Amino acid sequence: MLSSGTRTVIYYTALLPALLVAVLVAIGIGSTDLPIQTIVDVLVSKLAGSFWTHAPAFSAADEVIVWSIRLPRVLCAVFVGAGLAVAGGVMQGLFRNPLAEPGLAGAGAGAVLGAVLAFVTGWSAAAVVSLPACAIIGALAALLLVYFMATRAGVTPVSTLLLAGIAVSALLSSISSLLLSLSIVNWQIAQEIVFWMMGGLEARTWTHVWLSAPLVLLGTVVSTIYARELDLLQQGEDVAAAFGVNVESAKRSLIFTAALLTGAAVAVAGSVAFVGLVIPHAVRLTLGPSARTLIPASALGGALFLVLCDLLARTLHPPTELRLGVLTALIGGPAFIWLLIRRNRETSL
Amino acid sequence: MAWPRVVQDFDQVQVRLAAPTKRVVSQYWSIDEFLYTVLSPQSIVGVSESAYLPRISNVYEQAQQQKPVIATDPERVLRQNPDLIVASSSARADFTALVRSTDVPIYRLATMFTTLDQIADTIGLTGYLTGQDARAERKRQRFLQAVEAARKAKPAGVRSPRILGFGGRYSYGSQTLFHDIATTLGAINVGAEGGLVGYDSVSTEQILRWDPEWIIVGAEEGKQDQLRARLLEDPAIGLTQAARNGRILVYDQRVFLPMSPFTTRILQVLAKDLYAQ
Amino acid sequence: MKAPTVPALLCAKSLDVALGGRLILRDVSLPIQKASLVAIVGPNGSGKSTLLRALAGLLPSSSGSIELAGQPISRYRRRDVARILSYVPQDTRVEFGFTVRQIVAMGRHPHMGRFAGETQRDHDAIDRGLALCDVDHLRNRQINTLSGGERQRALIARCLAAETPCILLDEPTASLDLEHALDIFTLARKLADAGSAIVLCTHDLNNGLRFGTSLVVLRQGVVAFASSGSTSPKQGMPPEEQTDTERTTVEPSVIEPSVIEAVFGVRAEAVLSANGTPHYVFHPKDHHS
Repeated sequence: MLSSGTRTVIYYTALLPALLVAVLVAIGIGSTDLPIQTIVDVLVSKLAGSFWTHAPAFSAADEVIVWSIRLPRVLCAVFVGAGLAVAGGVMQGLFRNPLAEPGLAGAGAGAVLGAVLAFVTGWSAAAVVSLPACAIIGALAALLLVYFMATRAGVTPVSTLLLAGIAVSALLSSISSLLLSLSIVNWQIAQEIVFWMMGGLEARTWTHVWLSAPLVLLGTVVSTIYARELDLLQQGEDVAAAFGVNVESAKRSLIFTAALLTGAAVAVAGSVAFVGLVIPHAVRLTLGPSARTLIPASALGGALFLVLCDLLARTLHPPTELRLGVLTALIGGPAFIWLLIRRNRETSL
Repeated sequence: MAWPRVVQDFDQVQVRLAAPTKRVVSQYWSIDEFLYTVLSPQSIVGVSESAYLPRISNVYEQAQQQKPVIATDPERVLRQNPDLIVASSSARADFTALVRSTDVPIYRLATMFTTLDQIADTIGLTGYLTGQDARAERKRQRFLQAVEAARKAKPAGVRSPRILGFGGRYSYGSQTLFHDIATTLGAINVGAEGGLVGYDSVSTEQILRWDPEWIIVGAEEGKQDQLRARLLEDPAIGLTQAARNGRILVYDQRVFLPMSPFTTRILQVLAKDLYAQ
Repeated sequence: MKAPTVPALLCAKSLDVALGGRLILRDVSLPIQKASLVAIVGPNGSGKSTLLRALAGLLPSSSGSIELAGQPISRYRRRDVARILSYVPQDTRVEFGFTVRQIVAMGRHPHMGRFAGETQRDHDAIDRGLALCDVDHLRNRQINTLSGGERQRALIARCLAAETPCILLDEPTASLDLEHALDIFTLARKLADAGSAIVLCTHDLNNGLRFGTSLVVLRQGVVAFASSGSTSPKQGMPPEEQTDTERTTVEPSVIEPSVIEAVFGVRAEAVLSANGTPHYVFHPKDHHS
């Protein structure tokens, strides 16, 4: 049995290059496959800027496709995957339950409602940034609602938070469905909404990258900084307080961070299920539950998983794109069931 | 033409029509438009919900005249004592099954048209079902004349323009009405050329590769400029010939693309825009 | 000559604690000195856990106060409190598979900077804790695979790693068998003898008497009995230099059997064992009297 330190080293040694390769492959495959050389040439020329003196060996179309279409899309997959996995890890720690997932505190349903509102009012057609912005605002608004419902005298019991989250999620989802049903006469909008809700990364631009990347990075860093608090909270709130954690303040920061990560992810990719549930779970089984290791490792695992899922979504049935959320559920669902069976077997020993 | 008439609908069901209709109900937006073309508004007692949406419907004014009921609720429909109901072959089966258990004739009509000739034939069929044979025939002839005019629109010696119909995420391949329209006008449907069959999804990347000379889209009234701006912003579409030469045509969605007799409008405007000298 | 009064490290003063609208503790005063093992004994529902949690600063008081080194505990930052006292909860189950070493390392949290990793000092404190509680050989085992006794010792090791002068243990032997219960009491007394202030609550009156340097009996939230002069060292001598026999332990005869009967609902018979260790044997209350 390898020590956890060794396992961590192996994990990163295997997955970091794997992510890089996956990103390059994902950029290379599409309506026309691009050779690696072309991709590298475009990337280098764009990044080197005025230092690039060689005559371009690629066409203007190639450049647009690599730099403006595929690269932003793949980067979005990286950040959305990482964001969801970290959010899931934080939620699992906060709720002391390995079955927790990012949407539990209402942020997911709030983001969806924000997006549906943007569709229905036509704001989403006005500018590229409108839709994701509405989704993030929706996520945070939902979280605030859940938080204030669950908090009395500055204390937020985790069980109340869970119930409030479930209630608010149900309420917001039903409002989304209501809006969808009212707009269904205009089939184009309804189609847009339904497709968006099933998750997908088509037509993602650099705006989406600039919106999600800082939020995901911030959320991951904050979660890692609060890693010891997260570990201590899992020992029980009394124990955490006894060992110096400001329990209510730590819970607040963590739940807000999880909501921000979830909001950013849903804003860019719609509802993508199971990433936040399965990835941290799998990483925990491999590398142990200590948050300092779990959080960054989940980010990496989530990024790789989603880049590959998005690649599959694009290539399984060309030219139609399968919905990303459908694919992650088709893969994540059975994976989750398998993890559950393993867990039951272990705990019944 | 003798009465009663017995016809077979899309479901192979025999439908018996006793007499020319005085109270007909339409269950689908394009069927609304066929009926209003062939009948006067008094005879139409039920329409689809789209008829009352001015941004989508070509028969909004007519619907406003007599205010027929919206034909989603079977109870309200039957209260109108219709003598004929025309539903779409792609609509839900339970409404049809319910009505078939009464003695009101219901005809399921194919509405997914892929050629202009099919629309012409359906105009005739509408006349036959409703007893307005003469009037329908006149409208049918007018439709065919518009198609003929479109066929002659392309000036001699002009290269066939490469056009793409775009629906946000989808385009029109072969075996679509758009394809027939394009071919009638003497243009090349880039979607079909690229291998699309039917109405299928397409990525902006593919559009860039195909590089059409004209891109045609439909938008809600008042939102046309916004849509054009969004398309030009897209890095892939912005690089196409169509974008660079200012050849993105944004039509009102009532014009592009109804699958009804009102399709003559797109034939006229598109011919004008493609071949304007 | 009177012994100089040593100020209490941790002290409950006329404490009232209410939970869910009910008054759980009433007018409880209890000083905790260094180098002592205070056993809080009482039946279920007497408020032992609540008193312990209140001492740890985890509960608000409706009246009275908890003082830590002379200051009300509410004045301290949580982190600073955590450097003075540490806590082992009653429920030791953990959902996730942390290793023993990871669990013990958590005890260093109050000493570690926000962005700092483990320093040599932290390593040493963790190793010391593991060794003192005899769980070093289990350091890489997952805590939820350990037996109850091993788990208790690991959690105590966490408190030791925290290097706090005071350790609070909530019913540490409640679900342990005889051998392991004895281990825990022995360890607690050893730590007290080495200078720590150990407070544990238990319903095991006999072991509390045997190992504790002082005893507090709680009944329905009120102190029914407290041994006087708890850890007062022999006049003039510092605790470390005393031998076992010289250290004050509670005399069983000091607790009135009537008190035991009133608190625990059983008749108590004081017995001296062969090596002089005093304890009580319990009989059902006599109904024919």
